[in-house]
Amino acid sequence: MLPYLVRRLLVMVPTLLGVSVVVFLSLHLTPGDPAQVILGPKATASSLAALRQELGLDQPVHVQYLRWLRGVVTGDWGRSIQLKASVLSLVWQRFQATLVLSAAALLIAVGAGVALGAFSASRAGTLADRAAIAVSLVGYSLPPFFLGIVLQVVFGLRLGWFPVTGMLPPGGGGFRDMLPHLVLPAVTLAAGIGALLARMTRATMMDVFGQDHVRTARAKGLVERAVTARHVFRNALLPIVTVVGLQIGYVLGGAVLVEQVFSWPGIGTLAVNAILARDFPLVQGVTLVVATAYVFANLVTDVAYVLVDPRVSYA
Amino acid sequence: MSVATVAPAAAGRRRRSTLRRFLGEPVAFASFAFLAAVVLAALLAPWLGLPDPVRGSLVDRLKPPLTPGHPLGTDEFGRDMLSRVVWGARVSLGVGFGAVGLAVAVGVTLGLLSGYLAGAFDFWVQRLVDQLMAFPYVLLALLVVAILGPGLTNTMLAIAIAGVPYYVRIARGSALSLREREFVEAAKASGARTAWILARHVLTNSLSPILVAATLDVGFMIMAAAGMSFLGLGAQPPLAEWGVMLSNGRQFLRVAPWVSLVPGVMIFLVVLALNLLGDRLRDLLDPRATGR
Repeated sequence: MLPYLVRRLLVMVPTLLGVSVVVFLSLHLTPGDPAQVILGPKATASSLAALRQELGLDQPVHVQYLRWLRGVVTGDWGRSIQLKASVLSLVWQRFQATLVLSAAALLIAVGAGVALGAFSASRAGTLADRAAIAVSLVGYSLPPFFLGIVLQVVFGLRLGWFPVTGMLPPGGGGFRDMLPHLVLPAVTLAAGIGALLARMTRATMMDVFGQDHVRTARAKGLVERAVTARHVFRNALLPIVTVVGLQIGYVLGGAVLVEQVFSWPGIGTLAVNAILARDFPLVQGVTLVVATAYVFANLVTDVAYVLVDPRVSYA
Repeated sequence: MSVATVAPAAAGRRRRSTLRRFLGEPVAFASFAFLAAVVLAALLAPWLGLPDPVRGSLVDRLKPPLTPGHPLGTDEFGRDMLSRVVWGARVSLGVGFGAVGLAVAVGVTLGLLSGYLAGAFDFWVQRLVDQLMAFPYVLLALLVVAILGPGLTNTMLAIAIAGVPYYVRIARGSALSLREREFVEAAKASGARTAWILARHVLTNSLSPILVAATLDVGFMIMAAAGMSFLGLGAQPPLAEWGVMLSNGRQFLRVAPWVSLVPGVMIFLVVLALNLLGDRLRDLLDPRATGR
């Protein structure tokens, strides 16, 4: 296992370097002078010159890239132009909030999605199966920002069960105080992925139901519940793990929208404000963190794949 | 010669029967009818005699649905919601279909060339695709908006660019398997130009998976474009666009929830209909799909 992990980590290096090149170049791909784009049309010549020097724009591009990369590796991610603070500390602080939201959403999505899919597959063709399919189709087609608003209206404003915005009550608090705030955004973010997982789980389990070893298990007199749990579900796990892994990118992206609806102080709200203010150092910081997290998530998926299926060799 | 004259007729018959099977199922037919009605209303918006979608009268502000003269109510500026929804369909559907069209055109061209030509071209296109796929979709779209600047056209470009790698993958896979087939070899041996072979033989035989992916993608991209406008990065008020309308209405959720709910329901229904049609199309065109 260890050599496999080391090799996978090494393969990540060129991918991460590629990510860094794309993120670095984003500033240089802007139409026109980057300093002018950032400071706007009313900027004075001296402020433009100062910013050019701060961003190193007066150097050749490869020198700029190496300088920037050295900064990224050593923890100097530059300063946010709009917020006048260290990009790394801003991004890191907000990223934790996004991670909490994403993890909660993924847990709900996997739990509810796989359960719904397994339920649906084990009752294929019945009315319950059709209802489950309809539920997953609706979940899959609901825009997260719309679902969020509906949940806010129903469970926040009308019923008053959960707070509608923010991560903590006014005045702050601990993890326990955060939980009621987490429910609505996490459910909103989980809906689409949960629905996709339910469809996927159902389809794979239906495939496994038709295989020979399942017939054999039934023929030797195993009760249906044991057949489903031991022979069908376990074999359906592999594609499910893949889909969960693929959805991590969707979760991180979807979080941007959900955070905006619920004023969740995560990286998404930070990113949107940075884009509107054309605060490029901050945009680059956010992109770098999320893309790196995504690359790591894919690594975790591959490792999980190996752990779930003994047939996949990691030698 | 006789084969050449008979083939189109047979193909036409086959196409008609596929279409009949496609719409023969009630859910698919209902989805198709609903989408057709929305598209038709969007196209005919200027001639439907609807009130101005941008200018309203403050006397009529926040009227609930079923008010005489305003079947879907009015918004905070007294603008007719029905009119805004219909005019908004032009923008939202236009951006969704436009973005998919763009992503398909660029992605499929690159993918077919990449799979068919192989070699160094394929290598570099694939490295680029791998690199773009290292970014989550929404993040990539956001990065492109950051580069180009906010706005409706830039948003459409951004979500199209973010979708390109997906179509490169699909088209390349088809081209890779088709280039070894006898009819492609035969066309090559008879001296046909590469562009002709790609268009006539490779593209036409790769259409099914591309069509299924694109149908399912239109809904996704309509949602993505509305999401960008919702974030304030796409269409800007006072333009009637579903994402903008949904976002504006949030301030009035307590007193006038319909201002947000009406455009939200429209996005949901259109995406649902497109997903249902996409699923149906996949069941018909892809024999491997488990359409159970």
